[in-house]
Amino acid sequence: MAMLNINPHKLAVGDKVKTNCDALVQDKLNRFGNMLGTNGKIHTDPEFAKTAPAGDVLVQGMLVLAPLHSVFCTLFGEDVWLTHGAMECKLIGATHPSEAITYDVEITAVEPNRVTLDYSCIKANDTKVAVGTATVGIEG
Amino acid sequence: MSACFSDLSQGQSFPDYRFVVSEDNCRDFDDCVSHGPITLTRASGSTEQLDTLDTKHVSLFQMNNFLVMKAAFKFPDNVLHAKEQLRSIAPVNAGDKLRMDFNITAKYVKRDRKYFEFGIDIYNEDTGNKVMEIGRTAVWPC
Repeated sequence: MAMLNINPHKLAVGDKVKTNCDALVQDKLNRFGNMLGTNGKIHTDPEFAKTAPAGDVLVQGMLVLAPLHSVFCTLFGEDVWLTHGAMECKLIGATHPSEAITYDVEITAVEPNRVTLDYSCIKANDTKVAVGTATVGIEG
Repeated sequence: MSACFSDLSQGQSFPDYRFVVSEDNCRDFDDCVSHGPITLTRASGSTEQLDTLDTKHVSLFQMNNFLVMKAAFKFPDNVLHAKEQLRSIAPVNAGDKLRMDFNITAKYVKRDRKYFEFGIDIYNEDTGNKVMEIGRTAVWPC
């Protein structure tokens, strides 16, 4: 069986990866929510959201994080990510639809069978809204 | 009526939820989720733009949905999604028949906030294999 290459870009500790996502329109939040069950009023009803503690619609945490799937597929290969990938996400801040997000990824460990990284999702005002770690690793 | 903290118990499990992600679903998901160019800056200082991979399987974040929870009980407004742990085990293709197993793994109060931890395992019913594990932490408002 061919050896699985988990690090096709030869990532090294300290390498940094970046991408971004533009502000989202309400229609995308609604469609995403209806598709995945994250269609609570705080995400889909601007009038309700005005009266909630957040004061405005909140983008679903998973919609904020979703571009990372494409980033990790690009870094490691789709089959590697989907067979040996794991991630932890902490949602630590609110994202409103008008706010663009920058994704910062930093490689923190590279071993023969495992690559580990930290990531942050950051608004234009430098507020982090989600942070976490991800690994691709083959046991044994 | 919405499920409040006292209505749900640690260890409680719920009926399996079966679903299929169609090709139309995948197109709609991709239309909602987009990003700009991916740049890689090496520790040495050089920068390159990576070609974004044209993926062919269902996104991890499309699998990581709330459908099983919504089928199990009515959500109160203002549930806060705090933490997520995802482990992907096998790719899923559009059209695969999937099953979600769902239970409450922990329930606690911390600094006056009510927390639930949920465990969700997703199986491909065509192969019988587990394809994904999800651990989800939410702050409950009522």
